[in-house]
Amino acid sequence: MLADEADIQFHYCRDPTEAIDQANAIAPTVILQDLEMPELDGLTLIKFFRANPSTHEIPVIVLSTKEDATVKAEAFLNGANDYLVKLPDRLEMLARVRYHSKGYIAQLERNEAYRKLAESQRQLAAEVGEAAKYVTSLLPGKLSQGPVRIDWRFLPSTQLGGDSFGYYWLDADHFAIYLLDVSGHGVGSSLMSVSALNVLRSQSLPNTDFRDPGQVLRGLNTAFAEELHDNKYFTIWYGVFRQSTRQLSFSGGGHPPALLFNGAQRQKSALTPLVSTEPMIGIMPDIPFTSQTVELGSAAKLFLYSDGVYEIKLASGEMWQFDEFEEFLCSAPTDAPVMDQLLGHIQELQGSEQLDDDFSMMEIDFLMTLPMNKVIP
Amino acid sequence: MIITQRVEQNIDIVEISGRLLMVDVEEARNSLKAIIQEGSGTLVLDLSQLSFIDSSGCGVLISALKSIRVREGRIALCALTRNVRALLELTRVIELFSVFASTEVAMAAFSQQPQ
Repeated sequence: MLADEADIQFHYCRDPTEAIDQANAIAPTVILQDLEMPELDGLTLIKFFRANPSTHEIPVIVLSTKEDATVKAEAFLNGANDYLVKLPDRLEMLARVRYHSKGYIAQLERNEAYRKLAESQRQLAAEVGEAAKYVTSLLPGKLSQGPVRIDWRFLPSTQLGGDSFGYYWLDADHFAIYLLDVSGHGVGSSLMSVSALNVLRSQSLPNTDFRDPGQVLRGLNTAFAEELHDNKYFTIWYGVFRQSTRQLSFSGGGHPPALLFNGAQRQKSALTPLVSTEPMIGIMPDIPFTSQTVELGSAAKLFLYSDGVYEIKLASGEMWQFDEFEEFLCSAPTDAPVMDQLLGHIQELQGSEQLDDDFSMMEIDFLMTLPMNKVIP
Repeated sequence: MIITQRVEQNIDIVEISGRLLMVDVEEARNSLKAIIQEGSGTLVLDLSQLSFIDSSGCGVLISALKSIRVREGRIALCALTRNVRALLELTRVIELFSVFASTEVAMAAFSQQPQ
């Protein structure tokens, strides 16, 4: 009945005990199986087909003399895909065979496409992972000696984020600190962030005194205004600590305020927010970025961070407020690093460890000591 | 977030209500871009019903500003709620825009200075 059809390759197996081996060898796209067989119960054979990895998903059409609802139901329960009562109409059987076969072939093609997609995603993830390692490798080491001590935490939300930061001695007296946050996440934002970071690290802005924060932001804005298209821009806070005068000059472009605690104690009364006076870099050319200067006490502590540390969507759906973030920094106990406490707190607030945005934060202590070890770029 | 648009006196008035957060950015940016490209060149954003905006939401406003500049048009922000104003001030984005107390005031200002 089937052997005459041009589009059907028909194989016949007389011995049910060889059915599995033969199916493994042929790799059919549909199996027609008698329910009544001499040596083996038909239902058991269906179970074998289902348990065998290479025939696990091949459609099985059961042929039986029994027009009995209970038997049919049992066949389907054991893994049959269709049931025909013998002897079936030729046209109907051909239609069913073709229908199940096509469905199975489509499924195989889908599986293959999915496998390829999963493989390319794995490769892509590995490459993104490499890039993320590179970004992290550009971040400076923590400073635990000398007049400026810096500890930091950096957790990109996806593997590649738009945050980066750096610090180094410009000369024997001037120490530069900066943190920038490129809009968005992913490869584009990360490349932009690295590009801006490299400009700062190599001090490669024309006619710019890197000891003057306003000049640096003006230079960056000129350099990036043309380059940043459509929806890309970055916020930055750039500060220069002058050790001989204990002055901190800074300039902010659309960046949340760095929080200065004069006296090094995290008390509300000692808090001065060092706010941005101009908008972000790359939106509009010719913004007259300016520098401001504050005097530091004999000991001073500065927190520099990106918006990801306080723009938190609470588990309730509400948003955490900037004031609450400030309050947290002022009131957190002193027996553990406050950045770790903050991270734990916001993970608790949003009810998940995975953050929606990059978490970048620096804790900087300006001590009243003579310079011992300096980081020269 | 819900975006609604109407045209009065040849001015596009767009109301963004609810919250403008990272998840809404794509939709909001595309909607505004389309309105700006097809619209009159004068855009009034009514933010009276916008209860919250985050920094990625700020990016939507900046994109709109950039798009309107490309076609040499005008844009105004109106009726900022407390939270929205706070963030726009924190990031200094507010300095890039003309800000009005209400859409009526903005429309009156634009009507007096035809493009």
